[in-house]
Amino acid sequence: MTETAQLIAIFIAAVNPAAVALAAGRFEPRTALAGGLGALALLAVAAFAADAFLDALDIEPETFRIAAGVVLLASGAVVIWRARAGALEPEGSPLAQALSPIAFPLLFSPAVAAAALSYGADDGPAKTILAGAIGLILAVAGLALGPGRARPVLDGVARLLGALLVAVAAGLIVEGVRDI
Amino acid sequence: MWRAAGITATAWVAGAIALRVTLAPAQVCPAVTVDGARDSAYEAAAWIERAQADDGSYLYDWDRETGEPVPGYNSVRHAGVTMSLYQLAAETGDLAPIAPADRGLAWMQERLFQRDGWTAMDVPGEGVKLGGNALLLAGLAQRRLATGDGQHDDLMRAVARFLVVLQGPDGSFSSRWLPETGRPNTERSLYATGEAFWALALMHRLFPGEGWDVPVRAVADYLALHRDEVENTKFPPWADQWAAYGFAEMAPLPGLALSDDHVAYVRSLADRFGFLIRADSQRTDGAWSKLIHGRRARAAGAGTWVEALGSLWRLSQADPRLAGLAPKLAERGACGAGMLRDRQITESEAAGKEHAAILGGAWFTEDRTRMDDQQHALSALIRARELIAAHTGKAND
Repeated sequence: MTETAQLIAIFIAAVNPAAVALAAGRFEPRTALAGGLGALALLAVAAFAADAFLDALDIEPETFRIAAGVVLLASGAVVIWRARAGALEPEGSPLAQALSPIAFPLLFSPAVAAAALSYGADDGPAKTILAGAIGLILAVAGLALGPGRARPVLDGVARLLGALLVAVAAGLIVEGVRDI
Repeated sequence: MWRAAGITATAWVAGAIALRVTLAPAQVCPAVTVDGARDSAYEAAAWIERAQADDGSYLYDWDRETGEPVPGYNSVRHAGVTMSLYQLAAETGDLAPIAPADRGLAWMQERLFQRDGWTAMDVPGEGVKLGGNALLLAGLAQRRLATGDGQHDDLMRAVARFLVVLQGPDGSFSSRWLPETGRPNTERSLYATGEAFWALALMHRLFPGEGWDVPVRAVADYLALHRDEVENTKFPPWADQWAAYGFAEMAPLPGLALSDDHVAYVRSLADRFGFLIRADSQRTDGAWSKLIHGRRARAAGAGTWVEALGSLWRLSQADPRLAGLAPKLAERGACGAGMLRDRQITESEAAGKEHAAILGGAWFTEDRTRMDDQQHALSALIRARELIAAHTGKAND
């Protein structure tokens, strides 16, 4: 698997479109899309600002991987335990829904934020944003379509993606410890 | 909805703060210049000389709370301290450290014995140790490199023959020779194997064609391929700065080019020492930091990490397969050197205080300083100059 394909898989696990679909009631496609664009904007800011952010905190990228890995580990473990966080019902104006809860915190979750910062610093913002966008597109589709009768399948997929995230987290932590 | 978003944002901030104080505190690398590292090394050497007794032994351990020396001595550390003085001379071309080092050498020479064509140091209460004899040999080699003086060549060959007596067929070394049985023991030492590796590599450098490359290659293979498994290292690779010294010494020598397995092992050492520097750079002397991250490494510990990074950096200059590591090695080494310099009590800081002669130039951990704190810091700092120059782009102040 190429590095870019690996990064896409990581962000699909971090975004976890199946868990997003289970967590949300059905949103209007335009609202879901607007929320997805908002989350992508937040991801892009994190990816571009990663180097400056770590410099400001006086942390090397190798060290930050350990912290990011812990966040991903916790996020993945929560999803494995409880795939569906709880159904969010649309309320407020479409713009308000798009901003919150869709963009933040549903799509731009702690796992996505940590991944954007860590991989933004390591692999560069372009690859990180591309990988994140693919995960977000799948999540937006899930929001627009809603779980419907696929709920049991989505539950299984969400937990599998949670397990993948835990594996990614373990690798990230080991890398953070082992790298110069 | 906004209330929920606000609660979530607050939870994020709390989580970020928790991460900051546990896993991601600031990594502090005090600035250091080439001249600053040299000055620190010389202050450490001056401490060693001031703390030397008439018989050539050194002040082993001192408690500044009581203002008294702590009883005890260790011949391996004596040999290491002596070696570091010779190393200072070899690295700088300044022969002033030779005199106190020669007094330290005399202490060891009084404890030598000969048998079966070899010579070794036998210290009452400690025995005939691989480590002490390896560092004796390494020190003599550094002396030869510094002075070109061949008066100890026969002694060097005799001690090297002793080291080879302790080497097993798998390239490993026994940690001691047992006078009661006339044979090596069956235990190994985490540090002494690497010390012997480096000392024998120095022999091959100084006396090529005498066959010292054979035991060097054997121990290099053992360290790279088997040691961590055979010796049950808990979190491999063992942070062995002497192995780093050995590989750096052997790489430029004819017939001793590193194998791919050696290179892979060296890379793992680079990762290990880089991590140790990063982790210690996050520690402070505060109570909270000590609770979460543990105490800062003493100079004898941190010094070995910077020594290793210095060796690995030299390897990166000698072997193209390791060239890509050079920038990170320089960065981590400069960070470690900065931490060492920052933590030293300088002579000017000690001036006018009680026991100024023992405070100045030393590193203290929980009010104690030990001679190998100064040894390892001295070796680290004098060799870190090239890493600092590479990292900062400045060859001097």
